[in-house]
Amino acid sequence: MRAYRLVILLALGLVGCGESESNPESTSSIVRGLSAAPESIDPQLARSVASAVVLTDLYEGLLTRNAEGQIIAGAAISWELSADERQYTFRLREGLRWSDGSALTAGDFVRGWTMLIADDTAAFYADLLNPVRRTSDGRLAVEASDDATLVVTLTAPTADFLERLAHPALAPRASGEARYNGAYQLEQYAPLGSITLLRNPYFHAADSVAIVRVEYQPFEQEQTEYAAFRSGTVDVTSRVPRAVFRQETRPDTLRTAPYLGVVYLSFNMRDAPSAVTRCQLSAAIDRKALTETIIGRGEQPAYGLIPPGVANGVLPFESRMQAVDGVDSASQPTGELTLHYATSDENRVVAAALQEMWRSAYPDLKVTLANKEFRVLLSESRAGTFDGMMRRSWVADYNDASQFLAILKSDAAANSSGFADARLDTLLAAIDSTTDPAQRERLLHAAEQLIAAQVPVIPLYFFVSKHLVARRVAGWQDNPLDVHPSRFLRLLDE
Amino acid sequence: MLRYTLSRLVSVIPTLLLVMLITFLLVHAAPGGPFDNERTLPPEMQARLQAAYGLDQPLWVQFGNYIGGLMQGDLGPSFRYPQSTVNELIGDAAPVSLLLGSLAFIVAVIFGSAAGILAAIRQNRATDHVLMTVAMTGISVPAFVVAPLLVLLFAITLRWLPASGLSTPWHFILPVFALALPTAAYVARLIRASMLEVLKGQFIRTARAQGLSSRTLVLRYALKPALIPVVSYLGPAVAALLSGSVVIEQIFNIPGLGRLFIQSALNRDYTLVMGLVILYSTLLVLLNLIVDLLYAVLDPRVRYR
Repeated sequence: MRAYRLVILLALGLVGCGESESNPESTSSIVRGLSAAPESIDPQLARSVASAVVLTDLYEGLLTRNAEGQIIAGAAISWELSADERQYTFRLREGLRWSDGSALTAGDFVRGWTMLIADDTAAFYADLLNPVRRTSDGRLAVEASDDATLVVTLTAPTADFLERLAHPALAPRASGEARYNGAYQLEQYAPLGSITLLRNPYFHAADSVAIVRVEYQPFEQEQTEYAAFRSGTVDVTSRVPRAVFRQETRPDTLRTAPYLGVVYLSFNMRDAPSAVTRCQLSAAIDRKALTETIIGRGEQPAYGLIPPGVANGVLPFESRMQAVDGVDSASQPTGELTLHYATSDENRVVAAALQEMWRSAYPDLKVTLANKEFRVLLSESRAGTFDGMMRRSWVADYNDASQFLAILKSDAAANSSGFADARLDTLLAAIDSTTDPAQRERLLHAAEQLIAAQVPVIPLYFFVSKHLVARRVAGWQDNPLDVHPSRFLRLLDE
Repeated sequence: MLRYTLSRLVSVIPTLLLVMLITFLLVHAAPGGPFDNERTLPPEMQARLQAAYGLDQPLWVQFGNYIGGLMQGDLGPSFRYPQSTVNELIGDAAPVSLLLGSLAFIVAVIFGSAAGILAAIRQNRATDHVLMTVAMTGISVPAFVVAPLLVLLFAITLRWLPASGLSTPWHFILPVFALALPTAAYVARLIRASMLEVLKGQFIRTARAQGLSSRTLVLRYALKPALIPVVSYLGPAVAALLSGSVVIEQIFNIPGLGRLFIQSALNRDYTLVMGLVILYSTLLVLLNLIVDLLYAVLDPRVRYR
């Protein structure tokens, strides 16, 4: 009996503590889910999307993004481009401060950017500053001409440079201890647990920030995150599990929007079937059935690599793939082919559907499926050792169409196909340095056609962003970059 | 006893060294590296990262460096979390798993032994059948079935308890219960079986003949010998509970050692995998030693020299 008494006491003890600690949360506090634990909340060291979400609240670059994901003035209030389009002069806002109240100067940006490209930082996003000219001693040509002016010199005109500036990796850096210049400052951080942010009183637009406290909770399992949302402990989720998507019958909480990401099959071009066969394989795929019936979360069928939501993607969006010469008279593909994909629920279903589509179109072709752990797949992709095809995806770091074609540049790290075409490389270089929108569009279109004629990759579908947003949260704007800074959110009275 | 303990402790060292060497070779042999990321890095960046973490050196040099650091209590930098060392990560996660594990252990032992004793004294009666059915279910139904069902019922449908995290004591109830259930069930079955065995013994008959009440008989004379098989089961069980349940921590989103372990393996966070394996194997070896020593306490026939 003594044992029972102990259990009851223990249970009562738990209940007692629970009441004293679980105060009703302040009304201006929200909990947001993250798809993984951020590996770092240092803007220069961070590597993942989950980190970027938190950093967007903690730091502000020269430029930043509004609730719709568009570029707006951040720490810089204005900027000028020189006549030769190679030099930007940024004027910082007056009276900018770090979260401890100390002054923020143009030199803090130089410090952050210098750290980003330093060898021993080994930053994942160092290439964001590739357009910036290097001095003869290897330093960045970025000059703080006074405390409020930053002069950036580029090697060549760069159309997407301002888009890059809103990336969290280009945040300023305080000397010494970490400080924040974003709408929020860090209250509590545990590498694996939740991250708590409080409103930064020194933020230049602090008066417009409605939510005082933001808690980020990482969820490796999407089902767990979903359960937390359904039980009311999480206000905004980072994704929506496929299994519950169709049951999600409350459209006022489900938010989906086109997202700047494309899913494609990459051939290993070092040893690939003929262009005609590749084209036939692509033509046999019913993308509408794939997106609407098989995945069914609002994904858009992809007939090219550039997604519909992209800022400068005013390209003709064809609903049919361009045919390769000679494909009509060619005989049906035969032989064997392997499709490699990273283990996941969605990938498995898509791969099986593709296999079936090919089987019914080309009975003599045998496609085998090979699922692999994500990092195994990546190492094979990097080494170019896989046979047949590999399912890959690409998500843009910023809103520019060229990002999607650049994955086929011969020296691009993301180019798992090993595709190398000098004409494409030249075109892509021209796209980077062309700032006239009409001319740039023509070049983008030419590059897209060049890719379509050779089929090194088979585009499948474009991602959508998927979130559950509690009804009490207002100010959420769907946008193609899927950025939702907490400073633009507010809570409705319940 | 002391000499035995010391000699056992010394024999732990080669065991741990072997475990470390095998783990080290296995993690490095796994395809894919810590810097294979969704955002593919240019080869020169890969090389720079490899050099920054010493991965460009021959394996035996890396292993030597690692052991050198370990001697000074340094488990190295994490490959995945550039701001944290392995010591910090384990230091953050260990208390969470320890607390959860100890609570689950206490719950499991209390409920398990109570149910086991009750079932033994009421052998083949309704109480026995009900308790053993529950225990059998607890053993056979895996945590990844029980835990989501608990969440569905208590967190989503009834909204009595939170679904995930550990921020208030309320949060502990579901994970502790889910974690304790299989252990409690096992303990109940073990105690019932060994209790029945002990209750048939001559000394119990003698005690009963002397007119002792059955309560004294059970708790004072029968329980102690009946605990011996349970203790040998509890050694590894404690290690498993304390070092974090992989499944429970994933489902309830608890930032403990189990979740860290899974993530470190998937991320190819070599140093973190090593650190956790060392922690787990040390815990296991030490707890087994404690179990062996406990035999001497529980069974007067066992003597160590």
